[in-house]
Amino acid sequence: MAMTVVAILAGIAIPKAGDLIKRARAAVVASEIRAVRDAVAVYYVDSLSYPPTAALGQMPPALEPYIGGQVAFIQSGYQLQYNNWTVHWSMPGYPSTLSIIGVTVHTDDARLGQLVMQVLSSTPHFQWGENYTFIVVGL
Amino acid sequence: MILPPVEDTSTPLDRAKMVAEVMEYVVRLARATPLALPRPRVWIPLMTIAAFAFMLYSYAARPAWIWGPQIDRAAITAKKNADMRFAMFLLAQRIFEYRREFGVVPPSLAQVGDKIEGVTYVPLSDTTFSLRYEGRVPIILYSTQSMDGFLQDALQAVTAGKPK
Repeated sequence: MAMTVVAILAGIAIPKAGDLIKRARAAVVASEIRAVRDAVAVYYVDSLSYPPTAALGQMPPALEPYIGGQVAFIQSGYQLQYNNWTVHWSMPGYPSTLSIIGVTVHTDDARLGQLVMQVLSSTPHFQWGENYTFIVVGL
Repeated sequence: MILPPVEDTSTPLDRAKMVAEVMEYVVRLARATPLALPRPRVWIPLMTIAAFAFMLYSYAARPAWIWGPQIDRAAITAKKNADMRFAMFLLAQRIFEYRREFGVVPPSLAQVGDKIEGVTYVPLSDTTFSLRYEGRVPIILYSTQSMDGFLQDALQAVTAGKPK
């Protein structure tokens, strides 16, 4: 009887603990995206332009002095990608937007991706496959 | 000392009475000792019935405190569609950028260094192209079409959580 109760409690507690760890991880990913956003803003003030797109898992070289060691673009379980899209079409509601800057979280952990979207729910974002892109400039 | 043999003076009736008395005692003793059976555990079937009833309730009513908030599948499909439209719109911007630089559209997406899983790029002429997503609801972007018309409500969906 006691073993059954312990097994039931463990069955509830272990997934809960796993989810808490994942939530903490999502908060870390969100803070990394914010750090990139802040670095991009400071870079723009200095140079009146945005760094070009970097490959998946690669820190944009131009942002390195602004980000320092705060963000690693390759982490266990996910990778980040910095994107710079030049817009060739005046978007309704955003006629002056010439560039869209986004940070994409690439992960096969759907729960982590969902949690990051929850944490950064006020940041424009979209999902395509295993990619969760957060627009930090332009929208 | 050796006792002299005792003469049996009992009658058959006395012996019968004696046997009857012994049998009566045995029967009385057997009745007084009830069979020690384990007490039936009533709570086991009761608990089983209660658990089964709870399971039926849980599956039928799908309460949020067990299953979480109800999922609106139509809303999820609409959001996925809007997200894919926006992703394809941004991919098209990369191709437009290539065309602006080189005067022609790229022969493949490798030249623009970007791609979307499940999206096919087809150059239609030197300057036009299409992007086709073969999902449950196919989405096709033609470079000649209005991007406003292509995006539909994608911009609103992407910026939905942004404070006004």
